[in-house]
Amino acid sequence: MTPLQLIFLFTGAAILISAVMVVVAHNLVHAALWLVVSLFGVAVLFVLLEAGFLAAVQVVLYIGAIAILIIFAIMLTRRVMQDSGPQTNQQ
Amino acid sequence: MDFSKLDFSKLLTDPIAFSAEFLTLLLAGMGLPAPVVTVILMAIGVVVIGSFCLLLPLFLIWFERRIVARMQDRVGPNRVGPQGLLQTIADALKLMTKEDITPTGADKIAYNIAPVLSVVAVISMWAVIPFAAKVYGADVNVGALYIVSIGSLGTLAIMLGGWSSNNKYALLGAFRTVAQLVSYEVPMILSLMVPVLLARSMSLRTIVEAQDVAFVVAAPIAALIFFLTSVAEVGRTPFDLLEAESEIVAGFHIEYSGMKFGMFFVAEFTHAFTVGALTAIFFLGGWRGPWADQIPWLGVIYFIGKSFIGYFIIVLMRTTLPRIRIDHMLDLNWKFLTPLSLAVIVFTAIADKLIPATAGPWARSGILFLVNLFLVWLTVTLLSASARRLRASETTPPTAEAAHLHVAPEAHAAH
Repeated sequence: MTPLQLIFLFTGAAILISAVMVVVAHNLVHAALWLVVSLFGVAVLFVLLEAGFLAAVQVVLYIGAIAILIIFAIMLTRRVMQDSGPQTNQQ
Repeated sequence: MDFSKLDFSKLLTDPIAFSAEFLTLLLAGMGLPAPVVTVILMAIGVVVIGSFCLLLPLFLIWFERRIVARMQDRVGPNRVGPQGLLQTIADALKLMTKEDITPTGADKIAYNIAPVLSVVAVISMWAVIPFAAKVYGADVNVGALYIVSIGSLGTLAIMLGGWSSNNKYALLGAFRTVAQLVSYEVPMILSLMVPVLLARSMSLRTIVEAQDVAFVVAAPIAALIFFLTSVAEVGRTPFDLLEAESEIVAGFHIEYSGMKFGMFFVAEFTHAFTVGALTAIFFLGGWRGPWADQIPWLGVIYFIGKSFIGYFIIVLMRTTLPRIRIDHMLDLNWKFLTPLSLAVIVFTAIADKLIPATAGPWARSGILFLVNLFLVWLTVTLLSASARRLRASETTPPTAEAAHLHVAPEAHAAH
């Protein structure tokens, strides 16, 4: 296995795990942070595909603008420091 | 191991390629496969650039303290080591022995990630910065965009640190961060477009190579806007609203102690020097200078020297200017810097297209300089006109009031 393949597998696993964590995290800010990890992983995938421009745009748009906006909006909500319980309903 | 294949004359002309060849031979001689050797070489490069960035603040902090002391008619640190050079090492050792406090109710994960992220954001920028024609980490063809995108990670770090501390002053600092850093990114990126436009490339190496005449001649307004907004991005005085001591105690890093505070400190100083380095690359011609083509090591010295010019100006600004008020700061950004940088881009693009391709670099820069002068004249005219209007509107109500007062007794007398 080449180092590139190893990096790809590791990044892919990181993206999937963090994407799942976005949905199941109890704290909203933590969910937003996991989203940042997931988006950054996609940027790494772009780098592996030798699409440097897309990778840079991915970071500047999704992490630099969208994720920061999301975190800022969440920060303004009340009692965000508390554990708000699972995001899914128990059916 | 067979070192006879090495060309030792390359040690002076192309040191990075020489050491890469040397290490490849050395590691291949130990029986390692080629891909592993490549990965090890990359790791060594990362460690070298990373340690340069982490050791740099040790000198920068001493440098800044001495200069600030000189400006304030003091002596500054001069006891530890020659001229006090080792003072910062003593300070760092003291910071490491401090208790590591996590405040009650703080969000532990975000609280601990924030200082690391802020250092990572600054060090990652140095991956693409060219020290000399052949001394650089990586020649990314979207280097300018990479710098901007990595810089935005620093904003995230400061926001996280401010929010997770569970402290109202830290949270206020985080709010100010969003107001300041996110909005000052706009004119910074716009002013970066001017050198990219002139060099027709986003690669930092190509941008430096395109500067037969430093871009500060062809684009003085863009250089000024870039420098100003970068200082705001670092959060240095006069834009230190995120950590304004007299208003919100220490802002986003109020709860941090020990080396976690030290990491924010290191990130700030390295970032300030990075601003100097980026200004040198985009506008002052990077490593270029007399005889830099013949002796590559001279290029590194030119580059570091030019970076220190920017850093020195930042230190001078810190000692001379008071903090700007938050509404003034946002007014300056949205009503002045952003429109001006947009105008600079439009004017530079049109002028650059109209200048015949046969014009030499000096003629081209001269014409663009005149265009910039025209823009300055236009800005000053527009600003003074609006100031006159503002003054007129401020003086009108009192006269009306006076007329009213004057009329009132007559009206009274008529009754």
